[in-house]
Amino acid sequence: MKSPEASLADVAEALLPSGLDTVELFLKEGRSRKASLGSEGQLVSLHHERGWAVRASGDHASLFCCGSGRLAPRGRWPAPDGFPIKLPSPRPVSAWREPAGLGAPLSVEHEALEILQACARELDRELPASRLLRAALEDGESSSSIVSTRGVEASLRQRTATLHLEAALGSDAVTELVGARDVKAFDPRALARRLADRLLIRRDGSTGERDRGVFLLAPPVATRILASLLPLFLDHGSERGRTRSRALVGSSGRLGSSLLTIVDDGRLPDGLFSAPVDGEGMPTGRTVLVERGELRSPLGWVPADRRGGDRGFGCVRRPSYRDVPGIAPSHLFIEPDRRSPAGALLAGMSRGHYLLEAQGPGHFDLEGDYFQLTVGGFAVRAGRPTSAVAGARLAGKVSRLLMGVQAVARDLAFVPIAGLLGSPSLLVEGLEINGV
Amino acid sequence: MFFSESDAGALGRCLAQIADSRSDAIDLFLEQKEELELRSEEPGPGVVERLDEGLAVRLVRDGHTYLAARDDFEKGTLESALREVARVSPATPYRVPEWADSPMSEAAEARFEPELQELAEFPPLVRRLVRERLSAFEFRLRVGRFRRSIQVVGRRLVPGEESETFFSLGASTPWGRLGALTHNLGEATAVRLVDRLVGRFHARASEHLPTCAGPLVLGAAATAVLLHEAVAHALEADTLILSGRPEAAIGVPVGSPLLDVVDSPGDLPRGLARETDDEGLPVLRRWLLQRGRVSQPLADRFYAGLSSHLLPGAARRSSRHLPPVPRSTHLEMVVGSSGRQDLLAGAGVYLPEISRGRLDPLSGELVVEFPYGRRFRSGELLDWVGASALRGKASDILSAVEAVGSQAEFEGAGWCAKAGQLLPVWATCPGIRLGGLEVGR
Repeated sequence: MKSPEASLADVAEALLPSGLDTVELFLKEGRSRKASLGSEGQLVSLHHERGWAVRASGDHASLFCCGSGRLAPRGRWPAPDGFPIKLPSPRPVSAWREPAGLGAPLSVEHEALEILQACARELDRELPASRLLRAALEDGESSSSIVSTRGVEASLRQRTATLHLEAALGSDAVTELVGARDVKAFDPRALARRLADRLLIRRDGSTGERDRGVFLLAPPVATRILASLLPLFLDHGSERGRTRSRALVGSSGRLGSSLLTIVDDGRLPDGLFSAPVDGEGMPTGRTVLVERGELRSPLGWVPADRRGGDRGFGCVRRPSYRDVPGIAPSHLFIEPDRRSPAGALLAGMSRGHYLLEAQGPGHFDLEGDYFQLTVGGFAVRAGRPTSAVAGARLAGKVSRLLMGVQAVARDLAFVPIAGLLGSPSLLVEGLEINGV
Repeated sequence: MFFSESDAGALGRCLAQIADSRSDAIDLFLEQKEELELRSEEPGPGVVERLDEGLAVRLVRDGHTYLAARDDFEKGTLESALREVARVSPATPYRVPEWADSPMSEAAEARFEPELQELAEFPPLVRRLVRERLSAFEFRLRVGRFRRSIQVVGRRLVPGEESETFFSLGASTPWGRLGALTHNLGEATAVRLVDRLVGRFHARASEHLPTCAGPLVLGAAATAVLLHEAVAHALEADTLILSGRPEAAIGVPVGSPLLDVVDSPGDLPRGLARETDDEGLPVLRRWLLQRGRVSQPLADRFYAGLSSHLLPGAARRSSRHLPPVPRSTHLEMVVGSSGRQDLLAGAGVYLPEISRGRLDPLSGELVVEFPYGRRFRSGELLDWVGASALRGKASDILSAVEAVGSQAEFEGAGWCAKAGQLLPVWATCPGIRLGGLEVGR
């Protein structure tokens, strides 16, 4: 089998007649075990994945090609088109220690099924009237290498497991999606309790009354809001991006409260996607996107002194070898306040709402500075939950939400969407629930 | 063929070694596909080509499914997949024939020449048609071609190879993105795309449609998506089983008596039509609704095994890495007697397309979103209106159909995403008129 460098040389030679003089080769190999329980019975599967991807550019055009299996000499490549793309030059990668457990074997079949069956048992124990509609576990490992004619040579390994649960009570259904490096980290009892709590809130909750009090947004709700702000951190440059920033930053020059710091960290300790390099082989690191409420550089921003050169920290992701690499977060999160337990924030609320989940996709108009999100949780009086709230409409100005952050808790939790997005609980003022 | 005919028997014998009980079901799924996209109007690589091939072995035993998937056809690949599915080391090695076609490097290259010409001719055609409408606005086009060949091998049955070729269109405008599927890149396809682009352009500054209770007239493209969500998804056996026995739905009225809907993968245009499904079983002309009553839900072999009232033949699989699931392929709605003037009688709102739809499988609640529309009065289309949505029980919406158009159009109903499987779906539908419903923000 050829080395990545030898394969790169073959590809570069084949593409040169098309005017493509810079070439990058990405090779990936992996295995994953999947297990699921659902209406279709029990499924277990083992997948061996292997693939390659080539990006190449000349002065006037470019292409991206990928394929499954081994990269073999090809008789014909598609003609390049469009615009040239800039492939990065190599940059020094600082010291990196691989996280523990990266080389651990995949879970075996009965281990994976036992976790799913434990989730079903625990849910039945917590809430006998409920049903586990579907439970799916995926445990995978992969190794990749990146080489380019510009001199990049990098490799990385990944190990992730995800657990997806869907449960119903009557006609209400809720889902939980969690990720970890090792399937042993999944706690069926805790997950079942969360599902049961959410189902009960949906069954017993009412929309409640109109209120403008204080809101404690639990991590799932705060993370959903953070996800809606992603365009703000990925695109400052376009006209639409500038319009968004103008709409939200306003005359104060601030995006949010001074308690709000948002970062993306490709090397987050114990982070599921932590790696020394990104999908282009560039060194990863910590990028501050919002610092104490002030908007800083977006992901992939090119410093003025390096125009035409390389970005700050690497932040290009390749979810699979089939995907065209693109700027995306790895672990993007609101920084927690280590001294502030969420329970203390709840206890300090005289009147308000503790919102535990988003109950729909919501509507976020960043240009129009408006959002609305269907939520569920509890009404709070004197620091104690008093009644369940479900299907309530939380709405207001996005800018007011961000400026209204009064406290940040320490219970940072991540959700595997668009990389990993995370937030601790946030205490917020200036919003309205069930407004007209 | 992925292998020579003389090897078909040998492959069948290989599978029979593992499926040693009469109740076991086993199949080998072979797949080659190519996606070629021209993205020359946007930043990033101007051309994207994805080549993909591999195989999967699936064993269904006592309600449990075991699947092993691989990303190549190299020597030893099938043996290792068979061993994983069998979950025992055989006393003697599985005797697997050599592939007639060797790996992707040769087989797929011969099958899929990366010819860009037909894709490159489409954007200039669209731009010319936009100019002819005396419109000028900023948009970027992306044109893609998808080609896929599959073959299923069973213990005793080796149906022929199935192939499909179709195109995807994507346009980004300052007012959002739109996507479409089509089976050709002719002028008629370009005209339909330009209609949608120009519609969005005209409606760009229009207010969201306030709540409106007048009759709603859905164009053929909107009807296609509505039927896909409210009829096809609702009648998939894996949706029905969430609420009880799938066969219990048979005979239940779920819509207006004007609704006759059939799923007919065999009646698709050349290049898309199927003879067998993704489990290798013959496809049916399956009546989903007859006079508004459920006739035959969509089922694959697994669900058909649960009830003698369910018929298999509707299994689809977006990739070898995923198991088959019951899905529709091509919905056809029987045309009615209403001409354009009849549909647009009185005063109401005409909604030519749906940008997004979602059915809650447990509650039956349906939400469809319209990117724009036009008011009408006495057969005449008037001012443009902005985005709106229709919400309600799927059966209530289907019961509100009060007229069905007399002209059916073939449309790509879009990419269907359910349970992690992304599948192209098609429809041949007329426009419909809905009464007594409210559409609003």
